Amino acid sequence: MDIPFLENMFSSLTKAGLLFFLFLYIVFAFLVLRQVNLMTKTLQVGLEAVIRSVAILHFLISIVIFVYAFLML
Amino acid sequence: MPNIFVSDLKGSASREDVRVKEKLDVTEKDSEGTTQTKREPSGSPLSGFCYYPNGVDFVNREDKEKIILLLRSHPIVNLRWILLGLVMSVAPVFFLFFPFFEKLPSSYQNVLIIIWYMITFAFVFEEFLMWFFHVNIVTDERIIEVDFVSIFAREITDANIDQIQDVTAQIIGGLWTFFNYGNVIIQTASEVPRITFEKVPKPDEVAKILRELRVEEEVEKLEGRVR
Repeated sequence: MDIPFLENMFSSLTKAGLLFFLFLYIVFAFLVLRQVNLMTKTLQVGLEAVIRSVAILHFLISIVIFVYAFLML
Repeated sequence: MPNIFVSDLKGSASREDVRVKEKLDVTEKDSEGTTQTKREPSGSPLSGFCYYPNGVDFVNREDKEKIILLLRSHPIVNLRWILLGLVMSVAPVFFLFFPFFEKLPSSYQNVLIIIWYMITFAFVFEEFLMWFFHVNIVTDERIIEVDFVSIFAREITDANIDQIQDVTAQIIGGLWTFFNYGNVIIQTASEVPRITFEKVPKPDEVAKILRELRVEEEVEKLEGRVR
């Protein structure tokens, strides 16, 4: 068996798996952002701006991490 | 020589007056003439018990509807996920003890650790949102329960104050007693027969406020001031 070939295949599969997971995480972060919008529209308690900012930041960071992983792996 | 009998009578009458006045001082009349127990507005946005909260609004509030109580579960119920979040945030230190992780290239190690922290953050943020936005609101007209069951499911239940039939304050166990929180179970004559305020602080006080509101609603009905 060609060990370097197997190693390469394993590495590619791992990379694809991690990137797929990070893509799913971006979708999840977007859903959280939508959820926060829905929640803050339903109920105004006084911390909406902070919570919405955290959700936006979370979504942006998830995209940045996807790009970072794509470049680094 | 002073007339002690007259003096005593006057004294007892004035003491009675003071007692009546003290009773009246406990209550006050608002602009619409309704009588309520005097309490100071209390509670921060992160508190579980906000009396006459400032700047609070909800989706289908009527124009003249006044929010009297904003309740959510006692902050102590968050202890479980806060501790779990702390454990999860220190867990990457132990990753190096796994031979599989040690053999990975450093770039893979970095990405895996970042993913771990993202999962941790997502868990903590979701738990916080579920706690923060699961509220019970008591207005001068109705009681409302706002619940976000899952990521996209929202449930708003309400019942008019005059539909309340029975209120039970329930404190079970040592922890609940120590931190003074519990369930307030409200039986109603509306389509939803039972609304439960879960693990809210000061359940006895909540029950008392609801009782006062019911009495006030009855008085409003008798006086023909019902909105």
